[in-house]
Amino acid sequence: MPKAQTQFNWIFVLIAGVIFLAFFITIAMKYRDIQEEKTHIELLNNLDIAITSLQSSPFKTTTKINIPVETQLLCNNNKLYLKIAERQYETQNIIASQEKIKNKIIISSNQLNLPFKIATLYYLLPEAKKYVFVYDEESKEQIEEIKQDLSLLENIEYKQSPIKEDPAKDYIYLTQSAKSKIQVTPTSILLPNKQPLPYYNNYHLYALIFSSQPECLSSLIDSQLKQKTQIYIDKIPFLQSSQGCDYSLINNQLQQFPQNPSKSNQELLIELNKQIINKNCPAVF
Amino acid sequence: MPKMKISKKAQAQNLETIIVILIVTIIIAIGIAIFYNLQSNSLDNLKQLYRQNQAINLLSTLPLTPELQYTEFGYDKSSIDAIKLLTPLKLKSNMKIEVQQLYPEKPKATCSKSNYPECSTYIIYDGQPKSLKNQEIISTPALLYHPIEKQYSFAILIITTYY
Repeated sequence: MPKAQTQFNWIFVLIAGVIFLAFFITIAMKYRDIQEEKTHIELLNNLDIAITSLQSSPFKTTTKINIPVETQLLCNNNKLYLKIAERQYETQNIIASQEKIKNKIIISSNQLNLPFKIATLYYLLPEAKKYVFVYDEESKEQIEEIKQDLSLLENIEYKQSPIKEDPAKDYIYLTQSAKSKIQVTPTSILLPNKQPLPYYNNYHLYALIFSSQPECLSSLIDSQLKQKTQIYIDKIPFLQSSQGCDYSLINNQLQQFPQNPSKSNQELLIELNKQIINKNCPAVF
Repeated sequence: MPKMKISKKAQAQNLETIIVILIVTIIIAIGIAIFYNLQSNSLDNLKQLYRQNQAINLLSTLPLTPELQYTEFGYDKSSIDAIKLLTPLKLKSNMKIEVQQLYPEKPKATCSKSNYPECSTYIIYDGQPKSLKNQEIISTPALLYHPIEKQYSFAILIITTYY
């Protein structure tokens, strides 16, 4: 056999081998991508179904789902994203959760009414994680409301101060004694090394407590409040066509409302809306 | 001479082995390519199913959103506020969402701030991409409330998904 022929054979075998190797490696990588994407879609679908069932349920309820891969909840520029592996999926739902979630998760939801419906807030809590609300004599009234609101969540405990902390649990203080922990006052929430954040009702407060990015979530809720208030401001010109109905007071109040949605301003809006209905005029909300 | 003969036979056997290995490898490669294609198709089916589920979920939850829901004193009145339908929704999706009033009958026209309430079709979101031609339509009955006339009407909420 001529030497040139032997060399040709070897070169042929090498080239063919490299081509096959490249082919098999490419297929293996693409197969892995397909499997990952399948897992992501199944996870997103399960999460969507869980959230929809909570939203459409007429009763206060919770649901549990299993998240097989580590999922991050990111909040950027008033938008929420679910990051699974290297891919990001935008979500329209307002979700309060730890930054990274995996395995068994409890999902609970509440409607945020300020005083008209702003959004449905979803809380994603790891089943294994324990939260402890610490209260004192002054905050007994508030803790009773919280106990009632979160009665379906089994991983939440309530303890009267003074207490001995367990490092495995997250503590939320309704007292003035804590320094490096989450502290709740009647109108704002103080997070360690962060500026105080105002909250406008209990459901808003829980979203800030359970979120790993409370500032961003707070800003997202504020933007939702502006959008929803605008819906009612846009509705007023149509309602004004009703004979003998004056909406100027409630219109002025709605214009200023997103800047200060305090409890007193919410009550004022409810009162103005009642006055309109009592005059047999169409309600704003 | 006999040595030469053995060498030629060995060469032929070598070549034969290489060809057999090559053919077997090609067959395995074809098999893997078919398997990959099947997996890829099943992913496409899963995506399609997810898209359908998203549309169904939206159909069931949309009437409950503050953008559409009619409320009195902040309480849900299980109907869609017709005035709210005049403000388009802010979404990012390959969908078209509309509400068609069926009874009592109104003139067949798309509703706007200028012709409301003398119209029957409210287009609340239109995200139809020019490049996508396939469409899937799902719908559900809905109760529409006209706050000025204080009148309920029967309507249908339609979501068209493009893919």
